[in-house]
Amino acid sequence: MIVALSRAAAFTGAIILLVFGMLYTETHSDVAWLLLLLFCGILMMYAILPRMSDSVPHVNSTIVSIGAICMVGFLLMTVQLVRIQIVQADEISQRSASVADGSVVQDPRNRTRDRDVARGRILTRDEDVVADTVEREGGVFERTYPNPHLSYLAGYHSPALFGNTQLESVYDETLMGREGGNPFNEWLDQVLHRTRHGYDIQLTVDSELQRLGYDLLGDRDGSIVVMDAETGAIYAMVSKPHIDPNRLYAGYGPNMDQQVSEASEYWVQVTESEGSPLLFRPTQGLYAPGSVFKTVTAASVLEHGLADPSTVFRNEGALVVGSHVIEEQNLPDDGRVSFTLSESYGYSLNVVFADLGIRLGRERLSETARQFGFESTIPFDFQVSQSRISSNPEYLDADIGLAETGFGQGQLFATPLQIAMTTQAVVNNGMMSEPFLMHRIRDNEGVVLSETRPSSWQEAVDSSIASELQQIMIESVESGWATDAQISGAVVGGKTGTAEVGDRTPHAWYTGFAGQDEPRFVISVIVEHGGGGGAVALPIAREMLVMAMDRID
Amino acid sequence: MRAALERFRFTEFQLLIVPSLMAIVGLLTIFLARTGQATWSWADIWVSLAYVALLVGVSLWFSATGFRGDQALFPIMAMLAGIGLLMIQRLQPELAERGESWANLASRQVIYLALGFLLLWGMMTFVRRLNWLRRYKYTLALTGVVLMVITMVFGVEINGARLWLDLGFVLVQPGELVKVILVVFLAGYLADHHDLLTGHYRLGPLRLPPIPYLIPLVFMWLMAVMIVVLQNDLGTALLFFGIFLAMLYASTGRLLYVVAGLVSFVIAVYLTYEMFSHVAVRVRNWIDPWASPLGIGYQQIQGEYALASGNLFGTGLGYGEPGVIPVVETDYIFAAIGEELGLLGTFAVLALYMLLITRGYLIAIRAVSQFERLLALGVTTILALQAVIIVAGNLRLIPLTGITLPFISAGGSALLANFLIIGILLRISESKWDRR
Repeated sequence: MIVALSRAAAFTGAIILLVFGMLYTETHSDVAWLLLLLFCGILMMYAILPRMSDSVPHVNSTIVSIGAICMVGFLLMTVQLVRIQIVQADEISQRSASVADGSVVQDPRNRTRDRDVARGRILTRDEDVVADTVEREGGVFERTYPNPHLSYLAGYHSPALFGNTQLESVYDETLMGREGGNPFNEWLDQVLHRTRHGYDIQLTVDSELQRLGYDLLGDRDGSIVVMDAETGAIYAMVSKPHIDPNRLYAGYGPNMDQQVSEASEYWVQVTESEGSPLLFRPTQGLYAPGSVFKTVTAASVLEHGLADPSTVFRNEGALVVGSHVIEEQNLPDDGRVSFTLSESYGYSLNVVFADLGIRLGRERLSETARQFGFESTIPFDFQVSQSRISSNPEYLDADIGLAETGFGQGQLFATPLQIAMTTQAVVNNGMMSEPFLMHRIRDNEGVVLSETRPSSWQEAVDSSIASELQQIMIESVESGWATDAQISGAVVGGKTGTAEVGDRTPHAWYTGFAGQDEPRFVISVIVEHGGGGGAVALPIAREMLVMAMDRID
Repeated sequence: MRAALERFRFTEFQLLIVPSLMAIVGLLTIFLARTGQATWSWADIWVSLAYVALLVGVSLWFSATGFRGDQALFPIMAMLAGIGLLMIQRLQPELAERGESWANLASRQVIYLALGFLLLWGMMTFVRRLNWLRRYKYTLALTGVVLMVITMVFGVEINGARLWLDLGFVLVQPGELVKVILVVFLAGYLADHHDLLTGHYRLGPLRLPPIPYLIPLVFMWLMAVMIVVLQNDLGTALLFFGIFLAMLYASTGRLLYVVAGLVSFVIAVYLTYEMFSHVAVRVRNWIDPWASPLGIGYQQIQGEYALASGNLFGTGLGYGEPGVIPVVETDYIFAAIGEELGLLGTFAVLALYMLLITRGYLIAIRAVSQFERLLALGVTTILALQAVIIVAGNLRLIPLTGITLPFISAGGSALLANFLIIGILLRISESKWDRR
């Protein structure tokens, strides 16, 4: 009885160990896995070997034992087969190594497996083409990006050399028609070796809006993000400078060698060129936010009851913090020294916000910033860099650190998407929506297979505080430094920012919203080293918002 | 008429439906995948039709001659040999690209298969009993040694191993026959000394096995170690030593001998690993083929890519790229099956071997004489160990060695030796009927 129990225990233990090992040992550290298999093999043998005393002639009993040992061997082989062919199959196919002479050892099937599949297109909401597939002579497919103002949104697709990035990477399986439709039909296509068609992806981006932003930035570096105030749908996402993905394409067609050498050459060119064109600024560019961060400080002040929008603050033109003096540069020239919180925001008074930063303290200010998405990864179609409150936490223990952070300098770094989403939370009753670029998936006959459903991400502030903030932003456009942003017949709110970056010309920022009866579109604009936010970024934003209200229903 | 019906081997005949259909459908799939068109004629798959005819013919002959042995063995073997036939036919275009001498490998394999059936037929027709073999065990052993020596001296070297004899029109591998001879000899020898089971003698504090066991134990151990050192062939060493240990265990029932033999063998292999660099290279490559991805690790890496690409269902016969694996037609045919037939295919192949082995050991258990029992056990263990050693090598469970996958790998000598083994098993399975 005890023997039977211990055998059952050994058998169960071996199975549990095998499952555990299969899921948790890495492909590369095979020694641990092999030792585990050996151990499980011994357990199994203990569990199934017949006892010699089982009264049959010993020759027969020994033959049964030998057979049992064989079966354990076969069992371990089936386990290893499952591991190689199912559990780690994808990982093994993707494994590659570079050899000393520069050649790469990789699975040759990667070259051939999708040779005859026309990769799906990427389109804008108004059916303009971001990425296209064209058939060259001899039935070879090549990826092209016909529109410069849209092309870089897709990322690049370079199967023979660099792989995929951005949309081309995230939606690779869908674009190749392997995922996103009816799973049974996809499987059937594969089993029956039918010609597959890639699925098209339609974005939320509007081509004309995107083109306008592209032209407005012109030769200047920077980024523009326009999104829906409620759903988080992205209507424009401009980044400058940018790559030309056409020139990074290298496929396995007959021109492969030429494409590879040209793409490598271009790669060296873009990686060495000034301005980092490979950096997709809306999601990966990290900038000092300057005064556009004052929305977060104000939110924290309101949230923790330090003041309400009409609380009056004195501003003598300078604030002494320890051995530092913060001088006010943004005072309106009417000689006043008292301002409400709302006016301080509208005139972007650094002295007031420095003082508020100190009074909030590290915990409260950081907490509100985190609620607005700082220090988290914003869920998006592709990777978004985390915005930072400070590079080292001790920085906010000192008053000068809190003061500088309070008005948006210090060690703050934010992505343009983060700044747009801060405004989006304000106009969406304090709730941040998940931003998204992919609108829907269609098959090659235009039938819609699936659509992105907008969803909420996290609550930044209470809805009552959000509506106070929204009013403060509207007043900023009615009477502050952002009056140029006014659009007749529309609700407009916004905040300019001029972020100091050492000795160089400051970054020009603007973030705001506009809509017919209620806020409908949210924008953030940054022009790197562009100068004053009100003079440089604001006009771009205004034009973009006017077009957005005109074009998007 | 009634007598004829009683003799008819219904089970066997029914079981042959599966390998027959598989051969025909499989070859048709390969042909259609290759041409990419939906037109074909019976002539395109004559190989499979001939194969089916051979299967049916042999089974009917068994029935006609009143053979009463095991009815499952032949269909299982037919299934495995059929898979081998299909895989070689499928690989033929890839192999043909390697050069002229490879161009007709697939046709040669068909001839070997036919010769294998002829051998089986001959054995079942002309060899009624096997017990006489026992009397000639020393003669056979001598023949085996002579064959090995001839191969070592006059052999042709291929891929760094001197295992082949050139007969002018064909290369043969005497080692394959020597495996069977070894089993016959050991079965005879161990059966003769069966009564000495209880005896042992002392050497100081050590209790040693009786001399008749001690001598072959030491001899086989030395031989296995020499194969590792001289030929760097861990697989063959493991095979020879494994067969011996299994038969020793079956005839004495002493697990201690087996454990002692295994432990000393592992220690010896470890020492050779420390002492001889060429053995060490193989072992290191087993643990990490990526250390030399274009050198010695290349084959294993490509084999693993192939298996991984197969996934659950495989690419389908003719749709994969197993041709990129070096020596795919022998060493890595299992990976080719994994790529094109998927996990379902590899599981099926393993299941067939397990059935074959179980059947073989059952025949051993039911055998009437100790000699026949040990003989059946030994030849079944040859098949079992070969399958385990090469498949486990493909799967990187043990270092890879150049052993063939029974019935499936390309190669005539191995195929004929395996048919011989089936013949022996079939004969032994009938011996209990002979007693009446």
